[in-house]
Amino acid sequence: MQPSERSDFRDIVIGACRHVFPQCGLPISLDPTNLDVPVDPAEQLAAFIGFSADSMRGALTVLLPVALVRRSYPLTLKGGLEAHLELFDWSGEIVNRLLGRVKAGLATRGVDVEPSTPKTMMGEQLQFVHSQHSHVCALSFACEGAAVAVLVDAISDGEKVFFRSSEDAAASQPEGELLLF
Amino acid sequence: MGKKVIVIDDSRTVRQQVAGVLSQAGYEVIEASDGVEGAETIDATKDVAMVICDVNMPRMNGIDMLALLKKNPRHADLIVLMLTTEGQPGPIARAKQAGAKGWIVKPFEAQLLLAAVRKLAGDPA
Repeated sequence: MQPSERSDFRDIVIGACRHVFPQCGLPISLDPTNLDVPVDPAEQLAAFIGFSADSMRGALTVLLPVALVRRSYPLTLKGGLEAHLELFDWSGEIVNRLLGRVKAGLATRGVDVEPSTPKTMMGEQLQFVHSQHSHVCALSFACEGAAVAVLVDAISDGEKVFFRSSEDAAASQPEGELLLF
Repeated sequence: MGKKVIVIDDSRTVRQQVAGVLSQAGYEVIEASDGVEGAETIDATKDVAMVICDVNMPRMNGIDMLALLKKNPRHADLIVLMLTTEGQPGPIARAKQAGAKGWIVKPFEAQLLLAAVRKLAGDPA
């Protein structure tokens, strides 16, 4: 991936965050800061999803304070362990929707991404190693007095051009519209 | 009981959101959490009015599940609506070819989903 493509990829991720997080009940600030210090993983949920494309593979990780996930949960939370599972599930759905939006953004640049399925764990169990080799972006968005961290790592085949021409771009079906066959 | 709608999604939150909308409208909702469980549930359930199915799921994705089911003449007329974060032409075309009747990219509005179910499966009773 070329350096300019990393920058474009980062912009696509930021656009996706601005679109998806508010839809999911997380009113983030529009402008993220670069996350250059490790996040304190205490009381955080780490939701992540892998993806692959022609000559590239990577992962999208979102670190969310448990309190924010609890406030954004779209249904009535049950008690005890059930509530715990519901918050894990909802965090996974948020990262899934975020990757869906990133995927749509990459498609406009001719890149077809194949997603994996989301997983969530307690933040304490996740260790981040920031690697220049795979790092696309590490962002922190302010949200209701807390922060939502978004990390994208990807490994591509060397410095090969990743984005394609506009002729290869594919228009996505708009969200929330019914397409009947 | 109302017409049976099977909801297949690996997110329990999404299943519960969809089930809430449809149950309130009078449909009977049965849930499954991936393509394998979805296929088993459809096989084991009589008089399925409609299936609402995610695409990216563990074990078996929704399009593969649909293609598998459609090989069985018993499910030839099964009405399937895909509800997913995917919006690319490729998966949409594959789902159409496999026999899906419609596609909605998440997130969904309750009224739109209900209108789609009424259009495809008819009224709940």
